[in-house]
Amino acid sequence: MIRLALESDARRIGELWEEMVNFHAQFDAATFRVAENGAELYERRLLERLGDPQSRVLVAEAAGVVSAYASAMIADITTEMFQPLRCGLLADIYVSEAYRRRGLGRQLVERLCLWFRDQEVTHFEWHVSAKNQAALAFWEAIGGEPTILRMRANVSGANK
Amino acid sequence: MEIRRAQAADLQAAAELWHQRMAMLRENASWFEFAPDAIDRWRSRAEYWLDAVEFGFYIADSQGQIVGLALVTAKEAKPGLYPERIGVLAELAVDLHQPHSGLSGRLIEAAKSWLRSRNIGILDIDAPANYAVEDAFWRAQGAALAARSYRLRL
Repeated sequence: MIRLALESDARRIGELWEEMVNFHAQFDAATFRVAENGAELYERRLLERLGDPQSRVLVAEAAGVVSAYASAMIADITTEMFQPLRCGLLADIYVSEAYRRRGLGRQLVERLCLWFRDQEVTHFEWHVSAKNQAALAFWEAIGGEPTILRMRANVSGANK
Repeated sequence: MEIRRAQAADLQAAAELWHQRMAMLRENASWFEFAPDAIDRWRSRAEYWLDAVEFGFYIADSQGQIVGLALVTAKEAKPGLYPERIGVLAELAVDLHQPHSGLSGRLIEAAKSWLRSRNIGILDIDAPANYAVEDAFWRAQGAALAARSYRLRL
């Protein structure tokens, strides 16, 4: 069952977020480093979003267990130099490992697309870790036009 | 050629350089549209960058002619992840008709130096997809592909 996230889901979503980051860290440990209170910070941000009409957080529940979630928002993605362009942004989506290959990710995306349409946006955007082959395959199946390559460089000599 | 902090007198030429680059990118990314007064708006925004402590705004000056610009800033990383702050290359534009070899690299080095002085160890760059030359350029600068962005029409 796909449903709106509730405040009572925040702890579980924080756990899923931590699982997602640790999953990514297996193939990109430099980019995905959980802060000491990372899950708590994420939960706090999530709770702010639950009350925001420009945001939507969905969960997938299977046998009473929240097994996946997706977080999205509506934003104007351009600066003032361009014509305004309201767009859906899919911030996070994660399906817990034990619940994969059941179509939960696709169901979450389809439900978010309904909300995006209700919000009268014509596009939505998302980012995929370049080293997450499973996610790249999932999004390839969904479709979409590549827009940006996020490159990352080390600034040698800095301590952080 | 000199790489230096931008000054008010540079802004018109810098705005035109910025516009040239965006017009080129728009050929393969028609989903964004310039505002009718885009150059004026950019110049107005750039006035703020000149003195704002949260921005490093650099110009490549070749005998009084503005041939490149770079704008770097720092932002909070995603909540819950280290490092807490990362650098972002907000703008980079060079005059493609200029013969100066290594111009972009020198501007990027100025941006990195600005980040080093703030003890920020990561620089993120959003490069356009489907531009193999830029992809190769960034890899040559030591950058690695971290993520891909997509958009889907509903």
